[in-house]
Amino acid sequence: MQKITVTLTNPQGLHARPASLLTKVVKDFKSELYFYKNGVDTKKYQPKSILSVMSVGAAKGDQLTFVADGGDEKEALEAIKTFVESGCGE
Amino acid sequence: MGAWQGTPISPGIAIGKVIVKKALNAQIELIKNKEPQHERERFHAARSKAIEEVKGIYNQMLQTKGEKEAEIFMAHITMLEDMELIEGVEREIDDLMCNAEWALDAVAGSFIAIFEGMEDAYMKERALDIKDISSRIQRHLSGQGDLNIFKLKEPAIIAADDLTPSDTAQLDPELVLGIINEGGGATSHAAIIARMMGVPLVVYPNITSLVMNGQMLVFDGDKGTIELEPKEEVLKAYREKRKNLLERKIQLEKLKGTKTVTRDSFQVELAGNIGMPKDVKIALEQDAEAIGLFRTEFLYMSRDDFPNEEEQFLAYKEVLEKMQNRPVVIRTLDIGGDKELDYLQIPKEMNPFLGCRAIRFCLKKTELWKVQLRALLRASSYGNLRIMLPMIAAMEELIEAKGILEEVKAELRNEHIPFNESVQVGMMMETPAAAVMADVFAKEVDFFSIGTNDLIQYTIAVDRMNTEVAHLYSPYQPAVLRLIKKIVDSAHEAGIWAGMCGEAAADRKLLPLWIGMGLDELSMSPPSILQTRESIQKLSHEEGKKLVDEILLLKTAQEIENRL
Repeated sequence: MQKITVTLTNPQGLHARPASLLTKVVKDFKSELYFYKNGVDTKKYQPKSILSVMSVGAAKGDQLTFVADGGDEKEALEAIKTFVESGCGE
Repeated sequence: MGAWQGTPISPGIAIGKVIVKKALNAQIELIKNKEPQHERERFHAARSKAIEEVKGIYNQMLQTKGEKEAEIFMAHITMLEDMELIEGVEREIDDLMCNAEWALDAVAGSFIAIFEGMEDAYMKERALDIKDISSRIQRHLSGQGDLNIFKLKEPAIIAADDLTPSDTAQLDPELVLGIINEGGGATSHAAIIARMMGVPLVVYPNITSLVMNGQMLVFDGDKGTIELEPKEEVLKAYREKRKNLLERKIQLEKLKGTKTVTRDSFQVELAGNIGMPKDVKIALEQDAEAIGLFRTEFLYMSRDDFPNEEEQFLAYKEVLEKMQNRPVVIRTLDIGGDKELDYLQIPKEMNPFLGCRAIRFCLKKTELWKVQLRALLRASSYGNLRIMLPMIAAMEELIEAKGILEEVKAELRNEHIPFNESVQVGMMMETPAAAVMADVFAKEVDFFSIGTNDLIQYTIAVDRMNTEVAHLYSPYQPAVLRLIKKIVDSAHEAGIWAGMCGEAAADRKLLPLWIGMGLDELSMSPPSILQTRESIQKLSHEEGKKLVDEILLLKTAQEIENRL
């Protein structure tokens, strides 16, 4: 199991379009994935679900911690890191 | 497989396959003890169809509007493929052994609640996207998803729980064989439009629960009889009747180009009622001598905002030019009552028919009404325009309305925009107050046109939509007939013309009375024009006068109807 924490930099946060793109980034990884916001790990969200991602209500400046567990966990987290740091495709 | 007696509204025979149109958001019910595997499959089938549908919209938007506008539909597709949604629905189906509709409603509902509870206004609005995709799947679950009644691929009969006037106006008369509606009476606007388009219509409560898409159905718009999956001999009888109607139509077409004149040379102008400029074609095909009522409110329906002056001007000009100098009576905006506009928030009223409708609304929203008057006056240079004011009940209203019209004329003169200075201005006679005061009003206007639908409703004090009291709603009521006589006599004493543009104008039983009273013009749904001409050619004005004297002494609507 690995985890990374990234900071949202895109102005709109996880709105429909960035959320939709995030689900596409992670969809083919086999590892178990989830993430939580600003260190609150009691409330887990599913990056493969646009509804779940949008329901985070994450805005610019929020910290997101992604947790991956499985054969491709490293690749999955790297892809997520690249996506978020590039501004979620915006 | 089922035969019912409905209320006949628009004549004609319909034979064909049925398409059910039901408003969604009907209460979704929990049905237990369902086979989970079957419900899962239903859910996935409906979801796949919804995805196909949205992909189609996405591609269309991409081509016509561009990537940015299309993007939201891509998000919808992602939502329709969402694992949390899918797994949630499957879990609900398995846990409760319930119907897919209930499971979807519960899962979508919990997401909607999350988004609606968010602070960000943008995210709050995403609740609408979830509602949208959820109702799209629900529509497919209900089995009516593939069918869009406005884009029929083949001829069909439409069975609807509530067809609104704008729905009806959007239908393609070439492909709609007939309509069975659950609500609305003979004078509802859906009925008026159906008659104008020559589409048979019957009202039968609950029809959408009785029939299914693709079933064979026949109905008779004159008698109201409906038969589902009829036996061969029934089908044969209906086909026979349809053939006879067609032959009758061909026979009536021979009357095209003949004069509308009685045996004793009394001439009547036979006009058509229309709702849109394109309807002029239908009216002319039926040999309308004039347009007796252009209901302008349809220009304001099925859109997002008020039509501007230029749009209205072009619509009125088109009608006037197509009618080539023959009279065109255009009624100014008549909304309120049962006619609402989506984009105009009219406060709910206790009694909309007694509330702020028609001229009352226009006199409150004068800026809005002036736009229409400007468009009308500008168009007056292109034909024989007559402006008609609806729902006048008091002289104050008429004076105020004419004052505003004069203001608009003065504006146009200042701007050197040409218009017909002597354009006729008349009033629709549809309140008992106006009828009683007809002799006074006649000195202030250029014509009267009797709107029988509302005149009956207001005189008898009957809500024409209320089936409990609808039996009292009758043009044969002596009170109504006496008022009509008073209106026509008052017009002629003042030297102005009097017409009639309600449904009663085409009532074959009443026609001898209208001829006897000396109405100058009768305006009706175009499909009634030729048969009315045929009837008038057999009547006599002098005999009609005697009949009027006799009828007006009778006491009840029943006696009058029997005598006629």
